[in-house]
Amino acid sequence: MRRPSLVLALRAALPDGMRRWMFDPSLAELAAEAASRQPGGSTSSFRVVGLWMHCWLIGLRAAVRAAALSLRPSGRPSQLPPNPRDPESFMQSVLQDVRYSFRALRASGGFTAIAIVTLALGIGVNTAIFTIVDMMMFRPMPGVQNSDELAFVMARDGDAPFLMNVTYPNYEDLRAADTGFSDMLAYSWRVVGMSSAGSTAERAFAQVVSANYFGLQGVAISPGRDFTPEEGLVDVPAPVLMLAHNYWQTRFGGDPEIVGSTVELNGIPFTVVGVASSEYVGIESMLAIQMYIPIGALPALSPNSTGALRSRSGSQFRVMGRLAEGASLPQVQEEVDVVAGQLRADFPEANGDQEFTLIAEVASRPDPSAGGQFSQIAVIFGVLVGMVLLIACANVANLMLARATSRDSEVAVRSALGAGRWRIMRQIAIESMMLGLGGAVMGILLAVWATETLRGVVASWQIGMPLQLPLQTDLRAVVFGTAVAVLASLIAGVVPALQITGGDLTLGLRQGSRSVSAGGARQRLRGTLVVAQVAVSLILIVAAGLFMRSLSSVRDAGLGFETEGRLYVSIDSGLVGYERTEGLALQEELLAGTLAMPGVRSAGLVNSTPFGSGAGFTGTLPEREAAGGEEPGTMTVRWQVSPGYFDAIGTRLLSGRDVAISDTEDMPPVAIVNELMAENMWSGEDAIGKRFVTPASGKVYEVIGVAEQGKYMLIWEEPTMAFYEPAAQRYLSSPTLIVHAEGDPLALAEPVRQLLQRLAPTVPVYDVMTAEANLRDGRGLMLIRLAAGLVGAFGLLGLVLATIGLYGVVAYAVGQRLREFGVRIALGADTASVLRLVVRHGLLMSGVGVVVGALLALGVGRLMSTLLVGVGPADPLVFGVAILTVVSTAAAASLIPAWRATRVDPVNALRGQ
Amino acid sequence: MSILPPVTHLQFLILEALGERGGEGDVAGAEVRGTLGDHGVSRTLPAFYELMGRLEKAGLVVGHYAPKSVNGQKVRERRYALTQEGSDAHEATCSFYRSRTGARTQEVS
Repeated sequence: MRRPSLVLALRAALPDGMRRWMFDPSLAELAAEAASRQPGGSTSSFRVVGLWMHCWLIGLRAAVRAAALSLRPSGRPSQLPPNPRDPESFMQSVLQDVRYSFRALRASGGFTAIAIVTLALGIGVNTAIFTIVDMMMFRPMPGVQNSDELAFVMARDGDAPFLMNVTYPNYEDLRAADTGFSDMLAYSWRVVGMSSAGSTAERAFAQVVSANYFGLQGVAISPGRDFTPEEGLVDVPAPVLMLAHNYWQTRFGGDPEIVGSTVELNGIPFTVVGVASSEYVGIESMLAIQMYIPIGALPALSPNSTGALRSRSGSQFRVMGRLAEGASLPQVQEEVDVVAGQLRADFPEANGDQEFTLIAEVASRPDPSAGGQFSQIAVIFGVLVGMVLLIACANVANLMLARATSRDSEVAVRSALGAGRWRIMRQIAIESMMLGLGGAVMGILLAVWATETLRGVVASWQIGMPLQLPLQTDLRAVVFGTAVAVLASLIAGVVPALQITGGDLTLGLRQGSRSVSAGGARQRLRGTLVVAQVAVSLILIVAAGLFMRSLSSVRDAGLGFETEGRLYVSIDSGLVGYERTEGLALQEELLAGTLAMPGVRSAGLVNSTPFGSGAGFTGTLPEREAAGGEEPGTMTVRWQVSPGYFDAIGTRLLSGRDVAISDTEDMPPVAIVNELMAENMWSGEDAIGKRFVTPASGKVYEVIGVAEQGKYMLIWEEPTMAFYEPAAQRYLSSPTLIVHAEGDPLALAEPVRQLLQRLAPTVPVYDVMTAEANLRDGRGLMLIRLAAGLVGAFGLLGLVLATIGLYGVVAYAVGQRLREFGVRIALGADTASVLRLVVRHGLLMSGVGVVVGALLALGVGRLMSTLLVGVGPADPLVFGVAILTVVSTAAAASLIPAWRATRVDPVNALRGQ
Repeated sequence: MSILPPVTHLQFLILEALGERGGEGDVAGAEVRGTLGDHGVSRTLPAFYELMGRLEKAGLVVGHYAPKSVNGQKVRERRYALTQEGSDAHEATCSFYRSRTGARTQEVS
């Protein structure tokens, strides 16, 4: 589908004349055509971009024609030679070169097509990656006014390595203080059960926001209106909500009548007051927020959340401020530090050693707590796509050098007729620029396709919250793609231009083209380019191999749980108003019913799937260290599990016992700790029977078991401390049922659904999937999978381009040595020896490339090491397979021309000389 | 008399197409392009509208956007009408060809 932003951006990038006389009427006709094909249809992005490119071509052609007409000599005798210093003559000669280049490229269609496609691949991947990096790191927030004035305020406890959200009371104090922010907003997230017009409740992802949320950002609301300050107050009698534009379109069909109507969230009626502008994609643009609810409605929506608005110990809110006019970030940071000091003094228990860190909005993407990890990923991908572009440039340079061989006579004739070296170089450069422009057109279309595909891929990821990738191939991407094309043209054109015009240009006339073209220098240059291509493609293949090995090594990386034969089913009884007693009863019945099903080995409940977004953190301390201190403790992952969980998920209990039915709320708190926690807290001692404290709640736990170490939040995380507490002692309203099946786990999906339908027909059931699918498509592996897929594609692309380059060089060398092969065969050389001779030449070049590439790949591997799992940056298997792939491909590329060499008829070859 | 007609053959075809439909008011760009196609002249969208733009700038035709409903969807289209200058140029070109073909006929006879 065509997006208006793309059309607007493309339209803005056209000169007024082209826009008015060509683009607008053509687009109108395309729109009418699309509507006539299909009711409601719109013009595709491809056609719009194609039209835009076409307008440029037609416009430039018209401009060149007009310039040529205006410069046509009038009155000057045509036999007078043009004066090269005369600007008119210069312009005329440039136009002449453009026309000549166009004709020359049209005459050698095969070469032109291959060169343009090659450049388009390089330009396309670079433009696509630029579009992502631009969205993540540079582009102003769409739909937001002056987003460069916005900054996040994140909390940090002492020298903790990670940033945290801010508590609501701290936000209110920061907002009330004079800090240099003109205003501050706060937001958090909640999953809600939404139903409208009596429909069954469905899960929706809502952002709970301060009432000034949209006003501070300057987001337009249409249709409808913004929240009023009163609607942000706690216990507001008539709660309201704002819809996100996408959700309004997909869920309510873009019906403007929805404004003013009522929907139910968790069974409470909310009035829809407006829809956020279509441009606005949210503060954290990768989260596909579906609706916005004022913070004041939070207690009504979720009674358990009342404390979140009063407590200074639960950091649930992201806080953002807009800098006041004339204020700078360092100045405001100083003011915020003063407030932080005051809060530490006023609330020493909760704000013990808490500080606030300001991060400019643009530096916080995609997640302000991630600490700028994306910039590292962006650098890696930038380097990799730059390599693809280099291979493409080397290939085109190689093709131009090969083509130059057949143009020696032409160059010699032009030189003899008075063309200087500069003039001939200029003509070659113009030719190369025209190839670059063609590559830019195709490359940008390729980038549009690639980014659209990527949007779809990201939207399909399952990490417990809806995702989006609001990519736009806009004017910035088009300008970038064109700049890359100009750069690529220069790289690919200058070297051949220098080489072709080097030396005595009249040799071609005196000796004939064949002897000149056999010049060793040109062949050496082409060989060097092939060596570079092979080296770079090896680096890309090694990079792809390392990511793929990471994927296959995941199971050896100490997951700490099994995935085979496991089914996950998530429910959320809290969304339909289940209280603790009803919820626990439902969970018990669900477990008992599941265990009674045929084909079920074991079953258990947990608050979140591995790598899901539901697991929590809390500080923990051994009881002896907690006595009397204010130490917040070491951050520890916290799980709530039912009896049978460990069996069901396949986590081994190393000592002690499992959670039991008898571990109820009225019994002393107990917990199972993981290996690292046992080792860190009671090194060398038996952890069973020991006690630890969670200072935030003051709860003291007795250790009843030790479970094996695992991965919890991210696949590449360092070993982390974790403990498991009985679900009956800390109630969870949205558990995930884990079923270990004897056979195909998906076969149990329907019986479990039916069971739930019988037990609690209104409770929403979601994310029914196998553990394998959860690991593959969830947060655990998605980044590695994406990286492996993208880099694998780059590697394959690089290898194909390098193979074409190698084939071209070897084939050309064979063509030049046909007479030699004829003589050899006449003197008795057999097929094998000729084959060996040619293949050796190809392998020699690729061998040098492999050595250079392997050394460079070691460096690239180190750069990537933080993103690898269970595999070292110099993994011998990856390097071995990559080298074997490159060498065998090189041998195959050399074999075809080698075979041709063996088929030479000695008589014909000698006669031809 | 000039050795060239006042407008090119392509421009003449367009003026002719607009002139034929003059009685019915203005004509949609898509229809004019279709008429050119009937005469074996194929032009891409931007090339065609660039040509129409030059005629507009020369004052031979006048164009405007008009709303249109296609399959219930509201779109707009560019429509053109012949100006007096366009009509004169069309007539002058017809006279030019008549005089040239007339002269040739006389030579042959």
